[in-house]
Amino acid sequence: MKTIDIANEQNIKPINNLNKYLNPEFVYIPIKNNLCLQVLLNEKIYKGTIIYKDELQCLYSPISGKFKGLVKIGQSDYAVIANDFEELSILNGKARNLLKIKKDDFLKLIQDKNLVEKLNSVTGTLYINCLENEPYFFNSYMLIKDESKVIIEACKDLLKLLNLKKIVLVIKNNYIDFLNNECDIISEFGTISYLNVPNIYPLGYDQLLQNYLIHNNCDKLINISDLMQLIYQIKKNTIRDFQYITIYGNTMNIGYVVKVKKYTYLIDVFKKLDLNFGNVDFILNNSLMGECINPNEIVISDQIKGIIVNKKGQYDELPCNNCGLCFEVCPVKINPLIKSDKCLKCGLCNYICPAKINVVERIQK
Amino acid sequence: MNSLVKAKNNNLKIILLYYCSIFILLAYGIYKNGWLLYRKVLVSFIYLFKPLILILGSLLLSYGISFLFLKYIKKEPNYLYKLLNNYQGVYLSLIVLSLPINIDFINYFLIIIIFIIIDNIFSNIKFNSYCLLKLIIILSMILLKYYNYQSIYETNVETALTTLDLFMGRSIGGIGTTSVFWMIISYFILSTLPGYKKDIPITALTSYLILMVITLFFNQNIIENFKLLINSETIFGFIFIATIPNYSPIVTSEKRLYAILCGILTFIFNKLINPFEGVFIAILVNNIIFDVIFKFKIDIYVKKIYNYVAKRDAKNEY
Repeated sequence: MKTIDIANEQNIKPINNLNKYLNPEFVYIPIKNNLCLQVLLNEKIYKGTIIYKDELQCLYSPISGKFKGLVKIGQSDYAVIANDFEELSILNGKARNLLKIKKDDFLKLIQDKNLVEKLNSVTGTLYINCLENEPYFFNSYMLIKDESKVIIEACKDLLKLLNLKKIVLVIKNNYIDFLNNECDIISEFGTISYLNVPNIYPLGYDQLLQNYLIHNNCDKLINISDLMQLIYQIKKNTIRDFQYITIYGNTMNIGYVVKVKKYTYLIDVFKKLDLNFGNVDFILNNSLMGECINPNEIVISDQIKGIIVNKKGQYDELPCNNCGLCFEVCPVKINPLIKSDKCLKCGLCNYICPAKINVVERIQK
Repeated sequence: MNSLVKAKNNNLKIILLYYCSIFILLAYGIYKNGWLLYRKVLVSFIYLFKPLILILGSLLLSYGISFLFLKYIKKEPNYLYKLLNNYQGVYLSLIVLSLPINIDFINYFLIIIIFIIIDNIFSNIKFNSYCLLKLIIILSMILLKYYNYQSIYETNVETALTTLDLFMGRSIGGIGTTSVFWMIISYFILSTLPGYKKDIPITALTSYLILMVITLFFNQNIIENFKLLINSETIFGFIFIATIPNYSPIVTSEKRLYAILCGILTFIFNKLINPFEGVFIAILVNNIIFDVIFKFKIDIYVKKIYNYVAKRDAKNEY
């Protein structure tokens, strides 16, 4: 596979500062079916109150305040909660001491079956994927920087619980703080270390990183988001009411990583950061193949990892000349000109095409 | 128009690099078929630049006719951008380099005009139409009874060529396709291009070489066979024509098969017809076998087998 360092080619500078916006005036929780709404107008809401519940999902309020009614943003309905800034929580569950529970009991608490299978079968080294799936994003970097103590404690608990010798946090070679300052942590249960990998795209995808790193059946790879899920749902026994998003692009000299409350309106985040954009395009989640969005219609949810702000309409598509570069760079070695279920939708074929074709979109059609 | 992040390589850079490698061969062609003859007072000053006139004329016609098509017939909004990123001029220049120096201007430009018009109308042609163009031009030369790859000097003087002569390009051949040395330099330049299928010439040449070695066991004339290997037209065909992206596969396994077939067919047609046209016929036939019949037929058979199995399973269930 031809490897590409997109960050170097596009001159993407690492983001070193974390911005926080944890006190929005309003949050907007997406509602698909009004009948599944669990609260009444002007009802007092606490952090952790179930606002919406249907067969597929259960959405909690990230703040305390009052339910002000429904509002339409774009094509969707949202339940508006006005913040009282008191952060009162309904969740009274005690934090669990993971050192005192058994492995089987711990695994029963995890809802994700794939994660259970991985943690059950790991006997050697557990690798934690702290890489991004997008060259412009630095969410994982800020996450492990901001919550390093919590992560290390959780890793120590896992070393003991799963009877492991080593946990390795896989980081990119532009996570400068970690390369210079952090070294192996030797605990009574095992070692926690950092592994530096090249900043090539799309090494952040779990299946590719697994092929790159793991050649032994005893070793397993999980994602940093899986670890955070374990920390909040099982160890702390609470909900995670915030997330990290990146706002960056080729129209900005430097990007922003923002720790925001879930369900914050994106325009409120822009106002908080004093960001004013002229004639630009906003792309959701993936700068190589994400869809163009209207920021006025975006509310930050679990699916949103970041917004790429790019110069408007730079390229015209030319006819495909069958050069084969898309096949050369494909990480799963499929013919990108033919529809395939194996496609990761990483967008590298879009990136490399000299005819500036949106290959993924063309094939999907 | 899209605003997604894209790599810096683009068609324009690729086209410019192609022209750089074409220029190297053109320069040698002007030297061998122009300057050397002009120095011996065998040709006029304008004849010295005949290869350049042929290429510039082709480019002018290509861009001119394509401009008219894009602006007035297809009514493309961004026609200048598409015109600059058009590969037709590159491939026409390659065909010019493979033609005999004796090609007549009127004969050539008439055929080229018709070809460019047809190419603009039927832009989705699956087989290598540039090979067909070359063969049509050669056929016209045969019909008009002036088919000859020798220059004026080569017609009048008999020379004994050493292997080094063949390698450096002092032999009989197309305008810019006699020098294996300069073609190898061009190959290295093209190898730096993103999207150039550099493994095709090597695989094709390897399969051609293997067939050569095999025939040595049945043929006592080793020198003749070895000189056939240094056939610069074949090497030109493998490096430039077989690798035209539109008509060659992109998947590694398909590329290998395509290149091996190219080598085998070129060997056969070089022996059957002649080394000047053999490679072009081989590439054209290979294209038709590989893309049109092979892949197309495979899809049909796979679908037939699938339908048969589905029907059989349905019957069994019933």
